Amino acid sequence: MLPGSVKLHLPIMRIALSAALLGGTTASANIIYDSGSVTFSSTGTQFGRISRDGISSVWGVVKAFPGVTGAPTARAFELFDILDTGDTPYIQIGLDDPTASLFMAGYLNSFNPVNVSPSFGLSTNYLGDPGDSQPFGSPSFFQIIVTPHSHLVIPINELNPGGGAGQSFELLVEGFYDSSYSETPEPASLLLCGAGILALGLFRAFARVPKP
Amino acid sequence: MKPVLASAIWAGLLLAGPAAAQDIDISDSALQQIAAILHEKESRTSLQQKLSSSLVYAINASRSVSLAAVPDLGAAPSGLSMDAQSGILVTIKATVSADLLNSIQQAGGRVVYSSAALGAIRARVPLSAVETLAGRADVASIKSALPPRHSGVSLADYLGPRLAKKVAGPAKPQLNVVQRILGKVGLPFFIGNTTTQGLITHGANTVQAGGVRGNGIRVGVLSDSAESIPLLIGTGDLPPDALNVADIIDGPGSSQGSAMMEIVYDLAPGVQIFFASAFNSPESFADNIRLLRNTYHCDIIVDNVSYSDEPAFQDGVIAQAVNDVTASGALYFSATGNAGNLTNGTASVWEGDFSPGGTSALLPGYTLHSFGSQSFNRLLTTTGVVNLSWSDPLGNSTNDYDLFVLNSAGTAVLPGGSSTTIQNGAGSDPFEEVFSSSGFPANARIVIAAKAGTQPRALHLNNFFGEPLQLKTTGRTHGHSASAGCVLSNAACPGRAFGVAAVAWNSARGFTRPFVGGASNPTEPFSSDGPRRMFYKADGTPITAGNVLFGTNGGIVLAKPDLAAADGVATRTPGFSPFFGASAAVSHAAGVAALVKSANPAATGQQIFNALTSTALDIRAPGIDRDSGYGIVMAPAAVNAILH
Repeated sequence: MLPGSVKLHLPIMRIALSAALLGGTTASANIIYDSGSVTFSSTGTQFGRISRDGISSVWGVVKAFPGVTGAPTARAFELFDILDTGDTPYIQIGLDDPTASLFMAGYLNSFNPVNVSPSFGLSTNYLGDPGDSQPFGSPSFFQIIVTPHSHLVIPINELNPGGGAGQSFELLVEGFYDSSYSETPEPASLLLCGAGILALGLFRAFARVPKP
Repeated sequence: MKPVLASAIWAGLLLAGPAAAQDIDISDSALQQIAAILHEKESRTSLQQKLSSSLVYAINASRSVSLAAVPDLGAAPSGLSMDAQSGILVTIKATVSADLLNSIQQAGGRVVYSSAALGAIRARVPLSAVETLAGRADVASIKSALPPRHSGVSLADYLGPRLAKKVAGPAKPQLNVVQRILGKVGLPFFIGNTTTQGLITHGANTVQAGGVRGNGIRVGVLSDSAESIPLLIGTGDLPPDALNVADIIDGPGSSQGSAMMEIVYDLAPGVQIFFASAFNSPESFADNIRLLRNTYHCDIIVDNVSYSDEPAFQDGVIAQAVNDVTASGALYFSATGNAGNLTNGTASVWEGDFSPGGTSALLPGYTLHSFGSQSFNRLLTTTGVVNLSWSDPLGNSTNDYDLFVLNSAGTAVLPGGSSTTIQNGAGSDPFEEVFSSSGFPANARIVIAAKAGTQPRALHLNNFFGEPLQLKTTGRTHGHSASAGCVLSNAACPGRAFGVAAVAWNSARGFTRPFVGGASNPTEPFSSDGPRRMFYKADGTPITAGNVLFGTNGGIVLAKPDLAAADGVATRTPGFSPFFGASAAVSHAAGVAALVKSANPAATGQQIFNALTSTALDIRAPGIDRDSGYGIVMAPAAVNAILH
């Protein structure tokens, strides 16, 4: 775990890592979050879970929301809330779950499970998922692209009701400046980041204009 | 003990039959069925002796000629690769001519691939035409053929049964907010390409930063297909000049070749890269290896395909092509497979010498093999294809072994569970194969029988798709992926052949960092192990004359695999993210080799071999081991070694 960062649960507290910490050039500059080995602790309930389709979200490919399975049976989830992803738009999330009893996904800003078919709130703000739990015994991973300093929410849910209790796991979140896993900003990356921020600003400005 | 003497003693044991009084732990009912099957075998005409037993059974079934004692066994093996329009997939060994090819067409068949130089035709042939074709003087044999397999694992395929569960929600494309916004304003900047994590774990990013990028190196990739090349060129995941020079014939395939090309290009973005299919037939595979080297001048060739009938103890047609291109200086990389290993208890192979396990009056003229404490092995999970090969030379096997699969109680032969092709000298290969499209069930028993007069030979029994066996050994890696290249015939061989095992890129369970070796980075539990013992040279000459047994240390032992590399990585090819298996691993190794070769284009094959192996990170057992060879290949140290 990074010095100064804490594993926290909604709605208790949230993590806010500074861009300065993330934008440095040290060897560990791309570490956004490391839970260390922790035991699953429920912070909420969802209805059903995301269907595991075997496809990891990867940079450059927009993964369709894979659908929900096992609904509306309640399953516990533990939420990890990362308020600021830092300067790096390319995010890779890994979950080491030796018993393959958990699953994770990424959401932008918030995770809002509801007992309403067909998606039970699991598709709202969805960014991506790893497609499987601990494939072949290896940690699962998925990759997403977000604007710098995004608010990322990662619920880790139990696959089967009650199956998460007592399970140990480790959540790792890394950030990179490009799809080649660069840990330091390059001129081209900075240009892209700037363009993205500019685009976001333009879009928001347009969105505020009242429609006639 | 001298090898020849030992062989003679073994032969004496078998021929004298001292174990005749030993109880056979197979039920009388199963022995009677086996006897009935072997009775049919002994009655085959000279024309039928040109056919694999699976074809004989299929023809008999089509004529309602069943075995009275075992009516189910008259049925065609359920795994025969049938095509409703043009028949059974077969390999015809023949003097290839236009007349023969026309005859196949006129009989309603379809030629998939033919090679006059290699004397083989891959075709789909109506069952009714098989015997007519076999009757031609220019046809030596006709055998049912199974499709090959590749060593990559698409997680979506692996999860197939799970995906069958009901999905409650709709699967609609969900662009993330940033992508939607950027798309609306015409700034798709963040839709970047996809890069393997192996770029970091093998340290290739460091080498690239130093200006070594594989420039001037040509890499040829062989897999099933590469339909995604245009997509990947469009996204920048492959260079604009990436070229498919010999496509899959009976496609489409999985496009796994595209994923392999991506990985090579990620590690060595300066290379020129080519693709050719290895899925059309073994002879086509061999021809395409030579095509990539001789026509497209590839310095490095990499493949991930294996055929079920590749020989265990001698270089076959594909391995001989590997020998040829390494003799002209190419570096050849082959995936050793995902068929398990003894270290992890996942091995799908049993190797050992034939040991007489007793005879029975119910099975006259045959002796069953003893696996040690029992005369059968067991399948631990449902298994589709089981192969048996032994240490006779290709095309001239004079020792006649047969293969059976029984039910779990050992009371009956399973439908499709007998392979009784006749080996009687010229034209006979030391090979039997049973297959079932629905799979032989878990706990089914495997039994090997030897005809009277058969000499003891080294046996190699494997499950083609890698399902584990109850009694298992090392030595799953075989065929061309265990090739030594031309080194066996020429110590000064200018090229080298490498077999590559798989290591999960995040096996250290941390962040995206270079491999460190040791216990942190073990090979995958499914990765195929070595070593590989070879008893014959490619031309069929014994390596140790008169000694073709394990127990007497016959032949030569090759340390395979040679290297290990990353799998489980991200690629953009649809269906291969993550991309698991030796296919992904071998692509990383080829990419590192391209960097090394480009750093010093004048380096010899031996120098590059030394650079790659001497700097590899030791994993698994200390030193060279049967799971990972020299260990994990690392770009910075290997490039440094080739420059100094």
